[in-house]
Amino acid sequence: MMREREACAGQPVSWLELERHALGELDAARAAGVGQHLGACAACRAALGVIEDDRRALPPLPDPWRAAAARRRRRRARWSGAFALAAAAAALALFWGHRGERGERGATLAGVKGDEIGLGLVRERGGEVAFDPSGFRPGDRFKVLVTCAADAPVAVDVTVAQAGGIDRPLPPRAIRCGNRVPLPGAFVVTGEGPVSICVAVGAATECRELAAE
Amino acid sequence: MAAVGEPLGPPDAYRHYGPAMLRKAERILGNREDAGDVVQSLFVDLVERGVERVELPYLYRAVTNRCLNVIRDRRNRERLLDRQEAALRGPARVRCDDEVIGLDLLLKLGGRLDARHLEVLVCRFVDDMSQDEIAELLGTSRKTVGKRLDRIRGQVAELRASEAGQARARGGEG
Repeated sequence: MMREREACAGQPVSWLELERHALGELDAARAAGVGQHLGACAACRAALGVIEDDRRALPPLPDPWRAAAARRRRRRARWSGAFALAAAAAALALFWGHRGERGERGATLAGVKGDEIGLGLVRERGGEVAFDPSGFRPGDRFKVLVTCAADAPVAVDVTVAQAGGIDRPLPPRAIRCGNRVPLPGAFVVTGEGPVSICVAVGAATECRELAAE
Repeated sequence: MAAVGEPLGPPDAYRHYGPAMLRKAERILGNREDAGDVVQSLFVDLVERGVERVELPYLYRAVTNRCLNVIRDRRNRERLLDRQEAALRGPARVRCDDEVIGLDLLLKLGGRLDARHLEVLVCRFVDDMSQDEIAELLGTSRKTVGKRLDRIRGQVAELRASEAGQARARGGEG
């Protein structure tokens, strides 16, 4: 049986709208509409009460610069030496030929274990392909390769950050882990400033910084 | 959707929107510890990536997806259920065929629905958004949202039918 205070006769004011309302970030018209609804709806007032009564102290963020430095050291070690050369050959075939999401289940994963992941990029520029490039020009096309070791399918999300904006050029999806698993689809990078391409696999994130050429 | 707050740098966004993000993650994950980890790791990643400005809708979506990553990883299942505090779910104003979508159901549906359907599921039945709000947040059409909701309802019904069948079978054995 639904509790009376949880019942909303119409469309409830979403939690996002309630948070904005509590922060004073709704425009005048929407704030008036929300206020009117709250006046008549005990369920939505109760939800707003949850927000207003939450007076917790926010825990401090860990020092991101120290965490980033440690991550960069691990990344350099992982991508040094013969691994990049060997992986390049596989990536060449993958960029044009492989369309599936399944990785190489039986393969030894190159340098990653547990929750660690690897991010590879393949750049296509006017018919020329470069593996794990350090730079880009507007119009270059990129494909993302992920190395991970999880047994179960994992959710993967790609973001591209440039000049303060963030884009998600590929839809989030689940993949089976393996060596340099190509994510379906490719994307074109535009704009002039440096670009940060990141892939989040489960709770782990890896990024590549690309300078404008 | 109505007015959007000014985009903020990640440290300011953490101070300004952090409590809202924690409440949201807690509604999905059902405990403060995992919710705190999700929100902190998001903001640390934003700083590491050099992201200069973020808005509340982006953060809201990012928290949803990170929480879903936690839920879909089967290794987390027992821990999440052990730590679950029902009160953190808050008033459940939107239901799926009269059923509250809580952590237990999310964990079960995590193996039946892909990431895009799960994101819509959270938007509608955990965040209580309208279909128009979901379409705007996800940058898709209302029709697509409606189709995904139909599939979600179908999966919930199938799951419940399967559980009822198993219960009957157990009763028959007894």
